[in-house]
Amino acid sequence: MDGRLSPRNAFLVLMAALFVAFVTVPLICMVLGVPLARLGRYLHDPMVVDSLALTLKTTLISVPIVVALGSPLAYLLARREFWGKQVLDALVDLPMSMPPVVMGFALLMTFAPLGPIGSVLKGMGIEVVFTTAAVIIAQVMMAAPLYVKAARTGFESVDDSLLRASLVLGASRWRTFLRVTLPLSAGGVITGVILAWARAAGEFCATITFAGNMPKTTQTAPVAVFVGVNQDLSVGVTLATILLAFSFAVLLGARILLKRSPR
Amino acid sequence: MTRCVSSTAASACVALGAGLLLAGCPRQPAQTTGSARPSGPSSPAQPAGTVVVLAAASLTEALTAFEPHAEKQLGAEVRISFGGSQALRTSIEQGNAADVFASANMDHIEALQKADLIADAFAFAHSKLAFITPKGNPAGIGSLADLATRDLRLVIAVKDCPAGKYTRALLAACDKDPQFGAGFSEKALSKVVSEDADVKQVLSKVTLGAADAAFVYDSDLTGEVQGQVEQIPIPEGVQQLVTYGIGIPATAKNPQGGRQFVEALLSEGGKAAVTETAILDFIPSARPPWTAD
Repeated sequence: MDGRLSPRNAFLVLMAALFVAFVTVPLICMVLGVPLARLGRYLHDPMVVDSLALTLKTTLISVPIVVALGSPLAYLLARREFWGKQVLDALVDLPMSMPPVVMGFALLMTFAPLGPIGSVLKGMGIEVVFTTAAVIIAQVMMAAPLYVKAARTGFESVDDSLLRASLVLGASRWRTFLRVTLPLSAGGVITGVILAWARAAGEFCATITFAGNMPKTTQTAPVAVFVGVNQDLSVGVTLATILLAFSFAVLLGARILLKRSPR
Repeated sequence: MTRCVSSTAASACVALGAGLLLAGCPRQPAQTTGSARPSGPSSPAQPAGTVVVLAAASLTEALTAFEPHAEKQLGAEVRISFGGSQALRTSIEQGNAADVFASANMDHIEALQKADLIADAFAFAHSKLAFITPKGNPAGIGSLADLATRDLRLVIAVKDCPAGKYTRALLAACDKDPQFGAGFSEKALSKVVSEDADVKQVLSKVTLGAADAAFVYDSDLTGEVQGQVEQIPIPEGVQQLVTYGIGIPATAKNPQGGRQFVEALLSEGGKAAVTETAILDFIPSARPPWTAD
């Protein structure tokens, strides 16, 4: 913005303010319902500490899995034409269009001992349901589409002529990818990582359906909020407020760090 | 003072929301007059006479069977929403307009009574707990006592859900029973792999074979579910009497319709419609308080 408030800018600012109000007013209302004294007490509550720690731990595993599994797919979708691309595209979006509880049940019916994969795993002595692994699987399932979409946009934004130049100048395909494609698409990839983290950290419905609710093993912060709301609304909103502050700090912190670090 | 969120936050919301949205900056919160309780989201256009029922998840079979009968009797549309009793109670406290609330225990009814949020409430039916395993009983559980000794995965409901409360009471009763011995409940609870939000979620973990055992209500074991689970008897000495309460919330928009629904449920025809396909022990002496004289 150049400082002058032209009619067009005024309109943009007004609409932006409406949006900000739409997002923040409900959250402010929730926070207003939480007495400060209680907030202090709950900060040391094992339910809060354990569930936040579990959220951090599981998302630190699930997000790298999302990046590892999602990047090749995002690259393919961005830079190759092939038969069935539209179908693949629709499949990627599918988990986002489904209620998370459906994805949770789908995972449960797959990995439960009576399910097709669960029965094989059981034969090998591996059980997934009710474990931290189930939490991570649910997070990957729900967060991956967001990452793939953002990373794909990043890969698409790289100009073909730059890649051709790199190859003509003798760089290998791999070197071209590392030195040209990746730095130029970093914006989209990083946005994807942040979106995936936010989705994974907030995931509860598929998690509680598939992994259950057990402190320290499967009770992530959003699950604890849901259970808390059901027990006593004031416990729930207190937990929710702490989760809110935690998520905001992580999202803001990531952006500040990215801006500071030289690319 | 636990349920403090409703009035203060809601009025602050209204003031703040209106201020931000209309004036672009927050004003002094205007004095919000009127009732302290939010009236909840206004329901979509409902035909006159619609009766809205909030009922415990464990009443799903019973009231689903009763619904067509009720609509015929009342000559009105009946809408039933099932959920954990604790969650439904919270929604009434938050102003959810309902003409009938049916809870799987009396605690939630009494809490609403204390807050003057429900009237004409009474106990109307009983059921029992059931100890179940998936079909084929893969963990080979022979009796309730195996909970302490065998390696198994047990699923129960959260402690504030009535099913979870009854389950914990049953296990505590086992501690006092020489057949099980002191410390039984602790050993049994150490086998818990998940605490679910309502009894139907607990049930689904067993029907899918994810859990080896669970506590649900005997009323859950009807229809298709019967073929998916096996029941292990619970000794009478530790069995819990599950009591269902019903009443007319203060948020009711159609309290008259709500009372008619309750009367129809307790009529001979209503009871027959329920017990034809579902399991529920109506309390023979239960009468709506408004019909007392």
